Amino acid sequence: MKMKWRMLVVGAMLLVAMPLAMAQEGGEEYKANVILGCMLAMGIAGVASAIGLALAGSSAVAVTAEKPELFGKLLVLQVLPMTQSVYGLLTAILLMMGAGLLAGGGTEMTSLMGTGAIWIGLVVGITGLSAINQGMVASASIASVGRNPDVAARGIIFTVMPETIAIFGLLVAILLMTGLGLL
Amino acid sequence: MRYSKSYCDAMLLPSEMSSVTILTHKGTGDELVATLHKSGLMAIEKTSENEGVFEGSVPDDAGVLATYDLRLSRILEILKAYEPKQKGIRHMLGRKIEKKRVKPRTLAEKIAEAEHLLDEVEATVLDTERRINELQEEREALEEKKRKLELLSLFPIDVAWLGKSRYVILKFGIATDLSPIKDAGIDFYARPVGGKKEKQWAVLLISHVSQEEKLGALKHFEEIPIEGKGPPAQLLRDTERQMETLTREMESMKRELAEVYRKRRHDILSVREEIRIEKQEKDIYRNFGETRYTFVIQGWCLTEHEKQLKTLIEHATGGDNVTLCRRVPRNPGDAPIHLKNPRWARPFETFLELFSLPKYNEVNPTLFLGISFIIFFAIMLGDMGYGTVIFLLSLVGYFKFKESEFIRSWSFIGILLGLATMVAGFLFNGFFGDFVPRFIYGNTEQMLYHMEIFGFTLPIDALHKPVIILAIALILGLAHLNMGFAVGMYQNVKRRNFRGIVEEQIPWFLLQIGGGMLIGETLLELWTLGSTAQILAIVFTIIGIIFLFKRKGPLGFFEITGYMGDWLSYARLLALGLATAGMALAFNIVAQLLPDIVPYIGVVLMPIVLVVAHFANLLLQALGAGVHALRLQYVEFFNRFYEGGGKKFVPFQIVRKFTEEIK
Repeated sequence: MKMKWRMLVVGAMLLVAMPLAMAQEGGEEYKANVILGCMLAMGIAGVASAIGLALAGSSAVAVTAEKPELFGKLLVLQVLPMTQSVYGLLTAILLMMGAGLLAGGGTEMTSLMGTGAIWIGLVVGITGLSAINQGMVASASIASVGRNPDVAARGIIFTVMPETIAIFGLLVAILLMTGLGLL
Repeated sequence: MRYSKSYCDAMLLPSEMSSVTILTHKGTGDELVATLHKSGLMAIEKTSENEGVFEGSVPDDAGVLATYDLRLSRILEILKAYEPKQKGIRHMLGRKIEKKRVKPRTLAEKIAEAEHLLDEVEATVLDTERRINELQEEREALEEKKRKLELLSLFPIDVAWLGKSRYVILKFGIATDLSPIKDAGIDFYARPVGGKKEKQWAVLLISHVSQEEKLGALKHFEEIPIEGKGPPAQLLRDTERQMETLTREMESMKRELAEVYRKRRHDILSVREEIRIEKQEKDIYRNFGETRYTFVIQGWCLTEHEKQLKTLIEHATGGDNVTLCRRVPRNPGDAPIHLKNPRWARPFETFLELFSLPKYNEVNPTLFLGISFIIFFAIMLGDMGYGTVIFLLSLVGYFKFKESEFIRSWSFIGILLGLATMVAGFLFNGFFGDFVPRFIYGNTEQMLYHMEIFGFTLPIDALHKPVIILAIALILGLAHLNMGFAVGMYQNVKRRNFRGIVEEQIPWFLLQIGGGMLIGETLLELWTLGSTAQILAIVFTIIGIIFLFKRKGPLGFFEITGYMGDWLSYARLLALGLATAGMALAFNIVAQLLPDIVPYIGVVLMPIVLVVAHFANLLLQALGAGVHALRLQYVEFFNRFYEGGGKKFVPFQIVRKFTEEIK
């Protein structure tokens, strides 16, 4: 059910994004594709982070009800799936800067840059879905901390693991931006 | 040379340990235990039972001491519950502990002191607490009565009328449905009292005594018995007054207990500590082996403390002992682990313990962990402003909270991390993002400063030239991974496992050199190799691959891809560094736009938004940097050489938190 929901979100974004991308042609209009790229990066990663945070948060609330003194440790665990949305935001900012949308002026846009921006946004957005899985691990870690507070640090380390995928996604995005001359 | 070798071993391997076995006459047992306890040189382990050697019997005093410990703990527990809640950072970080100065005393004197203290406080505390509980129960009963009277006060009757008289029955209660009462033909008065979701009525039923059975069989009606005399409103006021009196009495008693806690807390804690030290001294007999006339004590000590320990034992037993100390060889050795790190690296032992302590024949990686953790954290946060905040806060923590070892050691880590982050921010053009160029220079394209060193232009613009940072990250990753191989090599040399070096480290060195040379020439086109170099590179690569496949079989292929994955994982240094800079930049842009979006108020809002947003960014990114820097140690670095699994050396020693013994 959850998988269906995830696919639905991504699919909906793609459905909206593709025709828009195809519709844009030439010069200044390429910047619209960059905006689309920003939306995909931030939108997908943002939704994924929100789901991850909700998964971890609901477990944290339950544990806090019985052990309020664990609030600090649980908050750290809950906040971890938020990083993917930070990567989405970072990609969006870098794309905006590259297209001159943030500080005016900027690079002369080409068709490849515009289309590339969409795929850059997508790679960060889709790898950002790892926030959901990170939320699941965070949720399990939170439950474990509820039973034994000493495992908090180990739980944090386990929870960080799924984020590596999002980091690789961001890395590909940055390399692509550099290759395309957007940075 | 000899000195440097042993110094290197002392730094890189867990401290050398000796196993200790003491055979002493029972008559000297108490004196010996007290000496060992005071010196803290030896960890005592349970002696295994053999023929003629039985488990040591605990002295009778241990039971008495346990009782005093329990009684004092109970008093503390009760009193702590009435301690007034305190706020403030100082309280959160722990109150200052002033140690009570105590003179050395005999066990009887310590027990007498505990008894005297308990005489003074125990009865008062227990009686007062019992009385508070009774008052609490009374108050709850009155609250229940108040709720009933509130409902009954909806009807203008005297409470004394309720019940059965010669001709009439008057009943009061709550009904969830009025129809059964109507159907039964009983006279009633009803007032709605339920909420929107749940309908309820306060109902007063009046009937002739002949209808008593009908009244008893009514459905959806629950009688509420109330006793008393007079109008409900009057009784309600009386009940409220009684509740107020009880509350005042309870509050006064709680204040009394809080006062006792304030005045006597330190006394109770210090007496309990002394009792616990004595109890520890008695309980340790359980670990001894016992024969008819002797005790057998087994354990561990640092090899460097052997002589000192023997002298102390000799002195305590008056020579009536046989003590054997044997240095534990590292093959692999099952001795407990004691790490000897330089002062600056000691706080990082916490991170190592979080994973696992090294085994006795394994390298102590604290130094490497400490250095690389600081560097990785600094690059991942990479902002001079954030570094300054961490540095200043840690400095305050270090000097203001001297009494707390915990805060001091974390503050010390904070100082190192803050300084390193400042340097990284200086190199990567970050001071609260682009705060300086945006708000001071008025030109976001301008760098913080401009400098040329050995042909390199500083600072490196992280946001516009991320590839340079990526290259730095990957070079650092390579260095970190190879440091792991080098440590593994040193470990194998120490274990005289030369085959391990050939199988575990050499292939990787060859593969990296050969493979690197070939990739640099063909894929990255960084250089052109001469024919000799090309042949050498190919040979290195092939030998490396052969060794890997020989050891792991077809899985050797996945070893190579796994290594590549581990190496690329260091790209997170760039990702997190950019995330910090990007978020800070976004907050600066929002703050800059505020005066235009919200006229007049925006100018005031701007600094507030800047402070709050940057502080939130600092917290989030510092957490990310810390966790990811640790992960690089545990997963990528430790994978090259480290297993862990050692148990900590915990000496039998007196630990005083609330007292200080004076002569």
